[in-house]
Amino acid sequence: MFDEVDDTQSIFRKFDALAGRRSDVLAAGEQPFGLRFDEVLSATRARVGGREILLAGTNNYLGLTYSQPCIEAAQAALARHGTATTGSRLANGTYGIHEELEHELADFFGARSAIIFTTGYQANLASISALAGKGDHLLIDADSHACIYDACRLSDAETIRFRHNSPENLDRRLARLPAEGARLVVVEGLYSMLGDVAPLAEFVEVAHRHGAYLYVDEAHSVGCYGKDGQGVAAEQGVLDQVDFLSGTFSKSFASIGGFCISRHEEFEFIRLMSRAYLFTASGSPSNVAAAQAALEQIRTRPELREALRARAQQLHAGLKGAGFEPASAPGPVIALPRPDQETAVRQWNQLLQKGIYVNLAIPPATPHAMSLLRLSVSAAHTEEEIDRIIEAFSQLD
Amino acid sequence: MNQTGKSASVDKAQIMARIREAVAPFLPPDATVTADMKIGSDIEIDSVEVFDVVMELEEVYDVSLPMEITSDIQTIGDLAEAVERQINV
Repeated sequence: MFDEVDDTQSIFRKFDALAGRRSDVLAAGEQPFGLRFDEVLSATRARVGGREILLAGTNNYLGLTYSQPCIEAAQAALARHGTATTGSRLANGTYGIHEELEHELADFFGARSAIIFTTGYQANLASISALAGKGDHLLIDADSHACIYDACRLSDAETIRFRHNSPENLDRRLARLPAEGARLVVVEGLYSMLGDVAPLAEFVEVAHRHGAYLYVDEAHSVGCYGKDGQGVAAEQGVLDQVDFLSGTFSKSFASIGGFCISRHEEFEFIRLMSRAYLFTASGSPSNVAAAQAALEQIRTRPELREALRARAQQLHAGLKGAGFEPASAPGPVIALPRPDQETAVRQWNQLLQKGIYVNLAIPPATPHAMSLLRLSVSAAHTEEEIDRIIEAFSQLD
Repeated sequence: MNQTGKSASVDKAQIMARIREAVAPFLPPDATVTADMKIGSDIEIDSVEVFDVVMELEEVYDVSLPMEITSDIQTIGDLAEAVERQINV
């Protein structure tokens, strides 16, 4: 019967504009969104079609996805605990390894409470939406990740956006708020699209001066920043003053899942309050075990961060030498703004033809409607691989 | 000035005049901005540019428009009313 539905009644009509944009992108070559990797060979290499591709857009910052400790821990957990928990943390989905990882994270960050979630997306969705309730105010950086925006929609609090990375703008907005209700400021440590770092020490000062709590999403920065890999807040010397810090297991932790830690022990009530924690199955044993093994490597192998830093500086300098202007200082994410979407799509295809995979990022997923070629560096990249990436970029037209 | 430091004497005509200035760069030079004009179609402006216009109004009138309100704004008149309501909260 749906073949006979009038166009105005079609539930898919809203996708018409999107279909047009997708056709424009596909007309330039390969499918950049959801490109199929036929076989992943290592942390930095995959086979696409008949060719081997060098990966420079996987957020695999420490390159641990093929590390022996992570693989062995995941295999052992799979054999011992099975493929899935089949239940929520509140029902049958809390195993010893879930609580072990929470204790290890609390210890790693020096926190009073640590909760793990099934995905990084859910870590923010669950924590932010439950912390900020009716009569409260959420103040979020305008360039926040989609999961922070979605958490705000799920929350009963009013949401106010402030200018990206501007403690001054936050200051003015906090000053305008009524005295009643709690205030929760949400920022990220490292912004995933442009690779810029937040001035967290200033945000801590402004937030606390106005009686607001500070929540920092360090999804892209835990493992990469700070002497011991605890993230940007640690690097800026304010980790003990951040009220809530969230992260993901899907990047440096070489797994999938997420966490939020807090210096407030009352954060534990999230377990009873948050829908995105209560009404979903807990992380699978193998994923939790892989994250545990990765955390141990983050703690004990500072050479991973040193390698990441060296390769990031090499790539940043090489791209500048090739005439590109990275959007931010050297770091795990290096974004190259392109003049328009057409150029970005064309160059993304040229890179793939040269055997290099990077991320294509176009509006509305980007700040300021920019079109970007986005690279992420890995500690597993060799100097020669970085040279190959730079060489490919230098040949783009 | 009221308790939150906002000027309570601003009326909607003044706000409309300020909005006209803010959206002028997105329209032909001789275009007339009316309250019923739709943001995004009658005025070709993307979501990032809308955010910048809203930010500018927030700075001028020393108010913050919650996201729950801005997401419902469709016309220039809606925007003027939203700003006026926040001034008079």
